[in-house]
Amino acid sequence: MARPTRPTASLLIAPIVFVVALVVGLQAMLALDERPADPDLQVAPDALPPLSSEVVRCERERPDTEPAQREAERLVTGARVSSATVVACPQVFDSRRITFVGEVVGDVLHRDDGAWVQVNDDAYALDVGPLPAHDDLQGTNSGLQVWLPDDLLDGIQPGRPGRRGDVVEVDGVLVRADPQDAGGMTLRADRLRVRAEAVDVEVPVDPAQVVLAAIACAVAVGIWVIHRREDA
Amino acid sequence: MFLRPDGRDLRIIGFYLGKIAMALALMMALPAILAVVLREWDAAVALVSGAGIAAAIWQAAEWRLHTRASLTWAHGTVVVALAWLLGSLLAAVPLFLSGHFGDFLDAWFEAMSGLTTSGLSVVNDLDHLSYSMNFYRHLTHFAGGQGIVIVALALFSGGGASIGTLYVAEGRDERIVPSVVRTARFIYLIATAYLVAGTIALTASLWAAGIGGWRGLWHAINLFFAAFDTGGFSPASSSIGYYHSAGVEAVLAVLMVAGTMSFALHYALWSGRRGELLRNIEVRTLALTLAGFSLLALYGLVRSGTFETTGGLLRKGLFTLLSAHSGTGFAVNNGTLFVTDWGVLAPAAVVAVMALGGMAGSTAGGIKALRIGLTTKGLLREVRRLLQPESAVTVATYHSGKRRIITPPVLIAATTILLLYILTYLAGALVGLLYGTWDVTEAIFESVSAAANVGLSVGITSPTMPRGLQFTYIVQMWLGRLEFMAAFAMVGYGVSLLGSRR
Repeated sequence: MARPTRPTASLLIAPIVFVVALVVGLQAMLALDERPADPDLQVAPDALPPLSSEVVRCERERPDTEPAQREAERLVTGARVSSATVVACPQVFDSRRITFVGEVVGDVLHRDDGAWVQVNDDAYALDVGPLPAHDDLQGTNSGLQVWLPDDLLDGIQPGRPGRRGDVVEVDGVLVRADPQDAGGMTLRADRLRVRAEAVDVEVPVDPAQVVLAAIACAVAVGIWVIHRREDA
Repeated sequence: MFLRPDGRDLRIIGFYLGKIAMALALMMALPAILAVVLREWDAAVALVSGAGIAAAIWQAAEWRLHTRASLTWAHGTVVVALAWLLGSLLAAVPLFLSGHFGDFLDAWFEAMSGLTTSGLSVVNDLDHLSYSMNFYRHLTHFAGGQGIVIVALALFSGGGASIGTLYVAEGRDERIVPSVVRTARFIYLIATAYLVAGTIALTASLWAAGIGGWRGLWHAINLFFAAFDTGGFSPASSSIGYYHSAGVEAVLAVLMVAGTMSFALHYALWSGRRGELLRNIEVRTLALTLAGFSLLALYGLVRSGTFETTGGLLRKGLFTLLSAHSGTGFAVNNGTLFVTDWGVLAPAAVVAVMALGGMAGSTAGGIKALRIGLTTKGLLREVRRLLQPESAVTVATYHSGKRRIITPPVLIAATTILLLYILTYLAGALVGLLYGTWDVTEAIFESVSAAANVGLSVGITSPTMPRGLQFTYIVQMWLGRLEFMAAFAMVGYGVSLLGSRR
């Protein structure tokens, strides 16, 4: 007996068309509602120490690492450095005094005589403010783990969903393999200044997404009702 | 002779894919409830949108494609291969709508990485991602790791016996008990037991580490999903280094070991057969490879002077090796440091254990200890055979639940998959090298991490990575999870389908 082949084309094409339409539609929906970053969330660059953001990468046990290290030495001037600069050539910054600026995020992990905090110096911390309040995407987070003694912890507000945390300027000594953190890289701070207070960030609901959710749920329920009626 | 699929076959495949969409809708509903409780309305709308679309597909399949036909082996294999593609596309919808992904490809990458328990991430500004959406990311590990495809089909399709074949299609090796439904129940029993015990232990250690209240519980549940399902996502951008806690790392280490154990081994231990732990070929292989490569990594770290104290060397070094070997991908240091501060030998050891992977029939990826053990034993048997008289009969055996003989088909299957993994690792690395941005070490590291579903990164994987490389890693994660055969069968099925239409 010959097997039916007529529905094959529609069964093949329909899901492909659906997936393409879904992806294009979603992409278009978000593109139509581009939200710029809030300039009020930018930490005034003039108020911060000048940043040496140059990245020189040194790799241990590689033949070309010594020239790179020598090149990186000139970045160590006690001036402000970025986390990217530090992790690119950690040996050069080991036991050196640096200045670091960033947003305290997550939790203040209290221990004896102080606390661990994560301080991010990415664009969301300093330039454009947290997502998803805007659509100015700037990549992943980056930062350093900072040890703050008790006397520097007063009233620190970390950033979380819906809140840009305190932006702080910390001075301290970078310990590449900190014995207090089982060999983790730590900036052991001895001075802290809050450069921008924590601020709640409004996360608006996209009306187009509300419509999408309503339509999707209505279609699911509608098909279910039709199906039940047909079965009855 | 090849089967010539037609509309009836597509109908069956479509109907069963609808069941997967239903499971995904349920998976999105849970974090949607959390979003409502936490008043994260933007995340709630995104998650409800995703759940609604998945539910609509499920209902459409029930309405237009309903069939009482059972799945054949060929149908099942294609359903499994397609389910991971369809599932990851649907799971990407809420992620994309969250506003933390540049385009749909990014969101699809994240969803594929979550469901395949890989753990590579391209999320923008993770540290401000809403609690419910972050929970959803981790939940994809649990759903994918605990076999959402198998469970959805086994529990909601009424075709338990025929669905048993899907276990192999999904690279899960074999059923633990004769009934698939009972196997699925056992897997969830084990997972629930570990969920309760693991979450309590993690919550306690997180509270001790300084994350109190409900946030400690939230971190604990997310970390449990990522550790037990050997996933590797973490709630904070600095991964496990964020917690600065030996207690947290110790609990996670136990969960990673539990996650990389096959469910068959869990069943043996559950049944009181503790001797299996000493005799099982996979346990022995894993113990040997972990010990050997750990020593190599520690020697490399000492030689390069990365750590200055023994405590740091052991804690950071061994945790990273265990994380890599189990296929989890938790990091205790910035990924760039693997290149800039770990020397050359230790990262090589990390790559090696990532490539080897955990046990077959677990959520871990990679070549798997069973295949390594079988190939090694097969090789030794050949050497022994050469040293014995021609008339001597050489038999090699291994223990996995019971004593088994290594037959040529078993050996060929093991070495074939081993070879396919190695080719996939190399292919991904080659694509990485084509961009001319990274050196060979970095390209191999990242490629192995993707194809072995691990998740450690030296920094190549990011929202700004080239689209072509991103797509390559998506395919690698998919192939690695399916262990190739189901994907190949799907392609073959497609070719047959097109051929039958001519």
